[in-house]
Parts: sequence; C-alpha cells; structure tokens
Amino acid sequence: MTPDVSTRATGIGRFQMPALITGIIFGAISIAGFFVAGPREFYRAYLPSYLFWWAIALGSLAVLMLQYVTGGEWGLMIRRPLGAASRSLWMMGLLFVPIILGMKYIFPWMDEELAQHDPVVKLKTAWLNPQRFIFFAVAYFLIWCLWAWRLRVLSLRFYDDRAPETDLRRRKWAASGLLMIVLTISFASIDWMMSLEPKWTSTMYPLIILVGCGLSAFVFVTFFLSRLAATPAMRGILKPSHLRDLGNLMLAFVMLYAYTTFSEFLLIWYANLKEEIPHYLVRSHGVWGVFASLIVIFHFFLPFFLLLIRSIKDNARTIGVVAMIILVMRYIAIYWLVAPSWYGEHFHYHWINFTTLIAVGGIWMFEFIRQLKGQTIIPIHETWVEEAIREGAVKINA
Amino acid sequence: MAHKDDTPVHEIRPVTQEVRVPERYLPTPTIEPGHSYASITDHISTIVLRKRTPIGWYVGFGISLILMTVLTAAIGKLVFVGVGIWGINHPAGWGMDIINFVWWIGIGHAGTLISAILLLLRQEWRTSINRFAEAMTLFAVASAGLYPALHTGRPWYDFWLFPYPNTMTLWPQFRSPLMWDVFAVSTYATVSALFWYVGLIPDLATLRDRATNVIARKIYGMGALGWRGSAKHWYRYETAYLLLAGLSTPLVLSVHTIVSFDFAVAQIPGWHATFFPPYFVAGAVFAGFAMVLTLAIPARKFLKLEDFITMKHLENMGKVMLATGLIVFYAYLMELFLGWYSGNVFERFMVHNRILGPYWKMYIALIVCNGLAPQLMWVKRFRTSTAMLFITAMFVNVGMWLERFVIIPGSLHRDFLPSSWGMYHGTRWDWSMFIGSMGLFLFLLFLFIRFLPMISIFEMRTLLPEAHAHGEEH
Repeated sequence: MTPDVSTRATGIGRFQMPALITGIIFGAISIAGFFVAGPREFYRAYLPSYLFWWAIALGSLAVLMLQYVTGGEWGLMIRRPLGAASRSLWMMGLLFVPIILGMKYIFPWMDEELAQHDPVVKLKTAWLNPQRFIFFAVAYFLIWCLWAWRLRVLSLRFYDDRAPETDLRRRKWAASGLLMIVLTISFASIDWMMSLEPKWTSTMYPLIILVGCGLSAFVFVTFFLSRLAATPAMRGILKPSHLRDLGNLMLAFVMLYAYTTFSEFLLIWYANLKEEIPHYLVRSHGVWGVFASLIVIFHFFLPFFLLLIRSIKDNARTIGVVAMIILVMRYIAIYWLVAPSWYGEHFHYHWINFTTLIAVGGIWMFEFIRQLKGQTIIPIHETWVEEAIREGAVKINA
Repeated sequence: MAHKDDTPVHEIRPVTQEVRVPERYLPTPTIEPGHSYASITDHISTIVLRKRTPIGWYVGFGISLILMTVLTAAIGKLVFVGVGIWGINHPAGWGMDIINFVWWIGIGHAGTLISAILLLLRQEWRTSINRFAEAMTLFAVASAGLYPALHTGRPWYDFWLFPYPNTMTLWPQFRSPLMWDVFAVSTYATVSALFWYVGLIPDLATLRDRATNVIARKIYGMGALGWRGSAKHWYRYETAYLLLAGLSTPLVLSVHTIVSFDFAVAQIPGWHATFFPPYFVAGAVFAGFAMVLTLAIPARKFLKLEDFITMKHLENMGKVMLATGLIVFYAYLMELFLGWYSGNVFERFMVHNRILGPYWKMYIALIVCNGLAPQLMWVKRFRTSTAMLFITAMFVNVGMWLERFVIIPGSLHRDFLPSSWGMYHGTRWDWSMFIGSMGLFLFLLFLFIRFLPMISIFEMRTLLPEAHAHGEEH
C-alpha cells in the first residue's frame, strides 16, 4: 500500500495559525518595547533575531540548489521543506524593512561625525552609505526571490512533463544560482554584519556567514524531518540511511564552520594588529568570553563527537536533539558576532531580543508552513522516476 | 506562487513506458562496454609486463634524465656556494624557492582528494584515475620537499628541524607555521605513500602471478606481501584502505591550510588575509586536477587507455576544475574588494600595486589563466574535448604558478616603507632548480608507468556489470 505522503498527513498545517498568532503577539510586545525601551534598544535587538531566521531561509535556497546540482537521495527527503523555506524569502524581504528604518541606530557609519572625520571610515563612504545599502538590500532580495521562483516553476514543469530537458534547465539555474548566492551572501554579510564595526575587515568573514547559512538550513530541515518521522506521511519512507546522510552533511558543515572561524581567529590572534584584534578582544571578555567558550563546546565539540556516532545519526529522536543543540548555538553564535559591535566588552541582552526572535520566527514559520502545504511532503514523482528507471519500468531509448 | 491542490499525488503511470532522451543527456560510462575481467587484467598488466619497452618511453625517460642532470647541477652549485645564487634578497626574502614549493605541494592535492574523499563519497568514477593521481601526489611532494630543505641554506643540518633530544639545547620554534609545515608535509608524504602502497598490494600479486620473468616475479612477489586473495585478506584490505582514506581526508585540508599560514600569519598586506586557508586549499585542488588532466590526456592516448579513462572521467575532472577555479576567482575578487573596503592605506596600496604595479603583467596573466580560462568548462562541448581540456589545464598550471608569484614576491617587494622597496627576479639557478624539479617528477612518473600498473586492475573489475550481479556494492 502506498503511504499517504501529503503534507496534510504530517499534521504540520495545524501549527500554521498558532505560529502567526504567536508571531503577532510577540511582535506587539516588541513594538511596546520600542516605546518603553526606545528605538535604539528595539532595532539593535531586532537585527540578530532577524539574521537568525534569515540564515535558515537563505541557507535553504543555497542547499536546495546544491542538491539540484549534485543530486543524491538525501536531498529528496528535504527538498520540500527547503523549497518552502526558500520561497519564504519574500517574507524575509518584508521583515527587513525595520532594519532599513532603524539604520541610524544599528549602523555606526550612519553617524555623520564618524563618516566624515574618522580617517578610516571616511575612505569607505562610497560603500557605507544609506542609498547604496538600501539599493543593494532590495537587489539581494529580488535576486533571491527570482531564483526561488524559477526553481519552483521548473519543478512544477518537471512534475508535468518529466523531461530531461526540464531537469537540465533546473540544474543550470541551480548551478548559476550557487554562484549568485555565494556573491550575494558575501556582500550581504559585509553590509549587514561586518559593517557594524566599520573599521574592521576580515576576508574570512563572508565565508563564515556563508557556511553558517548552510549549517542553519541543514540543522533546521533535519530537525524538521526528525519531527515528521513518526507521522503517517513519513512512516516507511524515511529510512535511517536518509537521516545518516543528513547527519554526515551536518557534521561536514559543523567542521567547515569550525575550520573557517578557527582559521580567522588564529590568524588575527597571531598577527595581533591594532586594527583587527579589538574584534576578538571584546568578544573574549566577560560574558562574551563565556559565549565564545559555549560556541567552542556546543557549536563544535559536542555535535562533532555526537555526529560521529552512527546510532545517533540513524535515530530520528537523537538526531533531532543534536540538530536542536546546534540550532540554539546558531543563535548564540550570531548574537555573539553582532551584539558586541555595539556594546563592547559589556554584556547586553534585553527582553526585546527574545520577543523579536519569537516574533520574526512566528511570522516566518507561518509563511514556511503556508508554502509547504498543499503538496506531497517528498517529491514523490521524482523518486518515482528514478526508481522506475532503476527497475526498468521506464526504458530510455529502448 | 502556484500550488498544486491539496490532494496527495500518487499517479499511476503505465507500467512500462519508453522515454526518448536526446543522446547528450545520456550518462557516459566509467568503463567502455565489451570488457571482461580477463580483458581488463590483460590490458593493464601488459603495459607493465611486456618485454619490449616502447621507444616513446625511452624518449620521455631520456628527457627527464637530462632535466635531472640540470637539477643535480643546480643543487650542487647551491651546496657549494649557498642561497646567494638565487634571486632572493631584501626585500623579497622568499622567491621562486617558495613559489615552486607551494606550486608542487598544491598539485599533489588532487591525488589525495581523488583517492580518499571521492572514495568516502562513493564516487565510482575515481576508480581508474586514483592510482595514477596518488602516484602524482607522491612525486609532487618529493619535488616540493626539495625547496624548503634547500632553502635552509645548510641542508645537511635539516634534521635540526625535528625535535630530538640533543646536547646543543636546540629545540624547534613550535610557534612558527614553518615548523608546522615540517610535520604537515612529512605526515602527508607518509600517509599518501602508505595509502598508495596498500592499494597496490592486490595488483602486485596479479603481476607476480602473471610475470614470466623470474626476477620480476620475485620483486613483485615481495611487494605483494604474500597476498593470496582469500576472503580474510580482502576483509583486512578493505578495512585498512577505508581507515587510510579516513586518515588522508583531513590531510587534504591541513597541508595547504598550514602552507597558507606561512603567509597569512605575517603582517604584510597581500599575505595577511584571513581567508587564505580555504582559498589555498581550493587552489591546490584546482592545480591538482589540472595536472592530472595534463598527464592523463597524453597517457590515455599513448597507452591506449581510452576504454578505462573515459570521457566521463575527463568531463568530471573538468567540472571539478571549474568549481575550484570559481572559488579561486572569488578569492581574487574579494581580495581586491576587501583590500579597498578595509580603508587601510597599505591594503589599498597592495590592491593598486597588484593591478598597476611593476608586476602588472603577471597579474593580468593570472586573471586570464585562472579566472577566465576555466570558464570554458561551463560548455559541455569543451568539457568533452580532450584538446580543450588539455589547453585549459595548461592555462591553469601556468596560472597557479603565477598566483604564487603574485602573492609571494608580489607582496614582499613593496611593503610599508617605500625606501625599502625593491624588485625580485629569479636567476638562472632558480629556473634551473624549477626545470630540474620537473625532471625529477617526470623521472619518477616514467618509472612508475613502466613498472607498476597505472590503473588499479582489481578496482576496475568492480566496475563491470557482472561485479554487481548480486546487487551488492564493492
């Protein structure tokens, strides 16, 4: 008997409205916080919360395209959630508006005094100015949505015609999209994150954010899949080997993230240049230093050792726990990268940080589920095609 | 965006249907059809066991011997006179010695990537090129190792690099990445050699069993370590091979990461860039695949191995070259952009000096070779043409040498203080060493091709359809 693989059978739809309501309630609380604690507090709390969810949505687009280019059965299981997350990027575009509104509270280079008199920053005003910033931000979102949309259209077409030409076109869009996403994430990370410290530059930084986006997407979809494992839709379809493949990919990204961040740290620590070292000095001080240790332990060592164990990767429940640990650490790592730019050595965490995190998350989750609904939870027709070819039901050029 | 309706989709299509797929979408095989266990064994082992050595081999081997003589002369002169015969001096204390070291060590990376990482990723197409690429790794590491060993000035004291108890209270400076290099490269050489040798054992046994010459049989027999091909042997072999693959995988990253640290820990603009580690690793794989193509395309033709090294292999290597080339190109562009963005006058000057300084021709050539030429690989027609692949690979070989030139003397020759600027030029002894090291590489390669199977015989057998008759993977 064929299992019911519709999204309805996953029961995911019942979370849609509660997600939206939670998002709106916490959004309202955050807006109240805007008036209580002031715009500076609000906007500075909003940015890291936003970036956490943005990394998942955009990373999903990147992983989706990687999947189309390289193939592999691991991708079929997560293609639907990845596609849904990438199609939610327009919503992330809307949610970017507060950042534009709060630019002067968020980005130090918006300060005229600094921009005109600081010997370093004044050399960079051709890049660090609000017009270019907004123009580029709009362009990034348009480009990301274009690719998410093209992949969707070609996938729907493939559903109808199952023609190798359509598949090839989709792969070509995905391949060029990988190129596009590397460049756009690089510049977006410079604009939205690195420029928070306008006098600081590191060539590794864009790569760290890029790998971080990929990792966020992998842990999110793996967590998502692990929750679905027991639902009727996935029973008999999701095999331990699928989870193991995802676990291995997660492990690879965990290592890659550690590799890029550690290399950056080592090189800056070693050279000890006055224009570079403050970045790490503030981040290794006090509570930030504790955060840094947490990142070393829970963002790398713990998941690294857990993901080496096959029995953990094969089991939906255990891999879900590992994914959750990394997901929490993703937020901590992003906060640790962003917040010390404003507060220096002094630790700062406001309740608006938490409420905005839930608000953006709720609204994004609503859109994610909306995009996910109304289709099969795995692209069953694509598995069908591959299986049919393998078993000889479809004869190519017979 | 459009949605399908909410009903689950399980379409029942006709049980059998025929699909017309245009020729160019069909997958190319990893081994040409029509081969059997016997024909594979015959074809590959005959290259080694035949009595008459082809004249072409003597020609190639002769050329490599002549180049080896050049190397011997260059080293001899160096030992008697010292590193003053090279072009290095203030301000460029590192020149072609380090350029060539990095160039060679980078080339080796394709071998490790193909043999270890592609094995773990279960990529079947690695099978016919892994042996050859691993040998290339070893010979490239041997050529690379010459340079730092000689650059110490007094190579007869090189053992001081190793930490051993001594009466001179001498201890290596472990805080220097140059020391890390010593360990990274020697580990790399050891593990690569072991990996290569373990992979050879079953084939050495095949050669032992097929050799008619008594001496050859004895020598191959010793190499085969008593291999009988029993189930237990295979079990042990598979375990050891997988373990070595796991051990080699981090080495692909670590060696070139540490090589990049040699530069990136310094404060010189153009050297101190935090993205050097992944950028160097990508560059190494890029260079390595270009070299595998450079060697595999002629070897395939002269030794008539087209059935085993098929277009699929060449095309896949072209794709890897494109992907890694794009990473390298990204790094070039980011280096320029972030150099400018940094707002640091020295970094900005470095960018300016790269493009418009005295070595501008090198820089433009670098962009053409490594940035533009690999873009040809986007086109399937070029990826499946041996001529175009070979030309692109040659561009990359040159480009990767230029890259190290642009980074090393290109950054050193003009640092912070204009009064200490200077120019760097390699002397004829620098060039003799370089050409000579190519001689060493070719010398070892020709010996390898003549005396050992350049394609793994037993692994090729696993590609045959009958090897999968029971639905099990090897």
